[in-house]
Amino acid sequence: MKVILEVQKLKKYFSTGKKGVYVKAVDGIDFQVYEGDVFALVGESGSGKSTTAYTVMGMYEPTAGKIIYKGQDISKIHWKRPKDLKKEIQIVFQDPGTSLNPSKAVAQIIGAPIALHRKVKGEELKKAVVRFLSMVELPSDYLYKLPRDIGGGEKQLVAIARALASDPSFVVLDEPTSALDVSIQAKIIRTLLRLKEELGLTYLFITHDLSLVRNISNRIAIMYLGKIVEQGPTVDVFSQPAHPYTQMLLSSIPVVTKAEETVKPKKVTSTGEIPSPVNVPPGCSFHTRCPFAWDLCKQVEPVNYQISMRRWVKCHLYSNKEVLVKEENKNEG
Amino acid sequence: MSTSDIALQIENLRVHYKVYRGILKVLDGINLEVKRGEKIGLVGETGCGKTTTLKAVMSILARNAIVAAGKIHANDDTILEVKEGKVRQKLPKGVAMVFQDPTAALNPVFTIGEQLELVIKYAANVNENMREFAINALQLARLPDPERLLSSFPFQLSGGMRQRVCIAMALAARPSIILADEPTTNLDVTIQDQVLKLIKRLSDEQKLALVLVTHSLGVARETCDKIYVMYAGTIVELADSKEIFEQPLHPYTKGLLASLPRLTGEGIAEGIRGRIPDYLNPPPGCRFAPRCDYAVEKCFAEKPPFYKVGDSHLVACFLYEGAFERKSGEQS
Amino acid sequence: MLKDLTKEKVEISSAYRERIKRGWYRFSRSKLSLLGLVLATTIVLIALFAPLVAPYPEHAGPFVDFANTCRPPSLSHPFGTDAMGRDILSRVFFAFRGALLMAFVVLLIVVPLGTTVGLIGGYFEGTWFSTVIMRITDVFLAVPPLVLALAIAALLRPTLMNSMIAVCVSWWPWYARLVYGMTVSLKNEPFVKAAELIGMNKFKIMFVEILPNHLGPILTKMTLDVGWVILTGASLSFVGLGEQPPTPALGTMVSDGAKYLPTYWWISVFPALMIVVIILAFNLLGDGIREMLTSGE
Repeated sequence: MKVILEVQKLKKYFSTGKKGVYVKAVDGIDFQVYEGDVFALVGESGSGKSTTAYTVMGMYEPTAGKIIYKGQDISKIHWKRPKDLKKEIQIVFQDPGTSLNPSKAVAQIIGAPIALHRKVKGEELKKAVVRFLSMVELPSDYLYKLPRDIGGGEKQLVAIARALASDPSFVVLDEPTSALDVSIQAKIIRTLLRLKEELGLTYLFITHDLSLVRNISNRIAIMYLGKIVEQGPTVDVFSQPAHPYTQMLLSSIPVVTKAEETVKPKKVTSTGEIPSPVNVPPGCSFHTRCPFAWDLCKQVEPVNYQISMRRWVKCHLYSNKEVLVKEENKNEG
Repeated sequence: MSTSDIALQIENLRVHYKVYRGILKVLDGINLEVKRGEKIGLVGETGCGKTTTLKAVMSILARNAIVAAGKIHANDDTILEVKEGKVRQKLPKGVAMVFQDPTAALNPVFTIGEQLELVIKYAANVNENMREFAINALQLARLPDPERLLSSFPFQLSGGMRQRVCIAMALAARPSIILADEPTTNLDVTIQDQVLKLIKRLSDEQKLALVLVTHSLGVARETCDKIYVMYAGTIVELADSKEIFEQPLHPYTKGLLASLPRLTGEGIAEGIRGRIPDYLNPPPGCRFAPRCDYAVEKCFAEKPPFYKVGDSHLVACFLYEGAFERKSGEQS
Repeated sequence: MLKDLTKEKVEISSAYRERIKRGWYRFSRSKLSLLGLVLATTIVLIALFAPLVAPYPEHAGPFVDFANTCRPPSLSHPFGTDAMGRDILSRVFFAFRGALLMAFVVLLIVVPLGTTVGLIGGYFEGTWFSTVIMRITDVFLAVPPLVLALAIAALLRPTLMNSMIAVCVSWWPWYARLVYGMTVSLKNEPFVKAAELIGMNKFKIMFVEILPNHLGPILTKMTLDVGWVILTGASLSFVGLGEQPPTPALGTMVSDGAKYLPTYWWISVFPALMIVVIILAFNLLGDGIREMLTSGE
């Protein structure tokens, strides 16, 4: 299995007006995405998941660290990236209402990347657009509709078709169904999974919806205040959440069946507010809300402890486990 | 001073909207009842009319809204009545509303204290000791450091705190009914959990009637005693919380529950085929019929009445025709 | 194949027709907008066909009739006659021509120029380049049109052309400002980001992605500006800069008649009233256009 995307010690800080005060949106993260993965990046507001996705896309330039795509270092802003790279990595944004140009018809929206990268025009271009429309199961009479004439779920399908229109290998999905109703969400997700199989894509899926993640991703990374606190195969992380924040997240999800209730961790319930990324607590940034925090947690930031195959936790609770292996090139600090 | 057990009652509410293309017949006869201290969830997807229902109670419907029929009683007062084509409507007393977006609900140029004062003065009619009253409301909403909060501006607070301030403002009006329109949808999941628990606790402590509008069945399950499932302007099913999830009856409810991704990892479901109907020309019979796998001819022609299945479980679907039929307008 | 093409043409045109119908519905909801449309159209038609509709077209040229000077409004001269015996109504009709011509020419120059500057300034907002452009715009904004026009008149001859130049120079920054503001608010929207990430070049993004979204406010402002440009033109011709006699200009007619107030009031009042009517017409029309292009359902 080949690694398609590797992120090393990535940092993205935003300057505020004041000197020396930064919004530490992403504060040193590492992860690898393998070909064919659905890699989920999960967190709440301030976690840095969207910033990570945007930095991978090249919308931001990394403050530090590297992004390596198919062996090539692409840690630059997208204007400086080679043009072929732009069609390789695409994104579907969260809100279909603002991610489609309100003054353009569907044909123009989907046609733009096709025309740009494949240099086709006229009848050929129209045929290609219709092909992508059918890939997302939209009829060809959507060609001349404006975004305001079509519903939210369908707009998102158009956004997906646009992302696929340049023939990418890697697609970043930024909460693609958060703005949609549950009955439509199912359809969109199924379409995404089908297309992944049909076209051999890899997804980086950003979301805060853990129930959804449980069912679509094979690997998951939980983010809190710019750091990845837990990372591993989805099934393992859900069945045995290691980090207290993961447990807090899981226990907060409103569920609908008794079976799910029993799966939810009971020990850690939600308390406290998420601190601002401008003022990250020292030591382990979660210590302000952690029921297990002790003195060490307030002073020293934990490193990533490997608790099983391809599974890491950033928490002092695991520092004295016997099955501890510190991987040299995965640690920080 | 109220004598009966029922805090809010909506009878046969029909609301239409006048737009360019014609008349959107959104609400098609909504019946709803909340007792004192009861928490009910109004669950439905976008466009089903749940916000319209709340707005009708608060009499803040849009300018192009037409109340075609219905009666609403709140706290033993008739606040909406349509008689012979004339609509009589007034602002309800003792009803407070919490909105979806706390950032939009708070005025950014006034401090929390100033905004609370307005509520206390005009809604609660209290003119002395307003500061104490305000601090009390903030404390009720479990907000830390209320004195400092009074002089803070909304932008200084996090989303969760803003929503708690909105809840405090709703409480400051000394209501007996609280209407909450997706109060936690814009909040992070860990904060959502805290705010929902707060709302539930307040409703229990203060014996407030709560109508919680949400599109999340999970949220409704955790917070409410009774759930009304709404589709395209009609109530399709209502039952106690537990019942709805253990024994969903209406095909829409079943489809909705099936569409939810589960924490237990069963994969992604089908969803429900089709779209919500065009309110310009809604289906003459059951509004869900075009999307229903069980629909028969009758479903397209007639509107199903409520059938009573079990103690307090009502479902508007011909599939349950054998069950005891309730005359429309009557509630259990 | 042919059938497909025709079907497609029908599809496209039906989509557009639907949009036009909806737009017309929004426009015609207000009676005042309809009034504005009617008035504005009438004014434009009068201007176009002045020689045909004016009762005394020759009065707009070199003409004197000292027998009929300063006659009050009557059936044969609804607006009365002026000090040279010319029919004021006819002269007003011809004055519309100069007024509308000025509006047309000024907007033709000012709108593309201002829009381009605003687009570039807005899209590159944050860079020194944009700052320089917008500060230059500010400098032009600070120049009062009348003072500039007087300066130009002092340097060059006072003609309609020169007063148009003066108005252009002081008018374009307003469009730059308008478009700048709208561009800045749009450039961070996801759909613009999506276009950038696809690999579109900056020029295309500005003119093909962003600009079409501005058309509503730009068109509205243009319509309202017709009235205001005409007023500015009238102010200039009031002080003698603009159409030179004997060609009638509204401002000139007002100023010529000023010395006969209040006895022969109609010589000034009717032209002034016409200025009001023009501005009102285009303001109402502009309101309607704004309703049409910006309101949602």
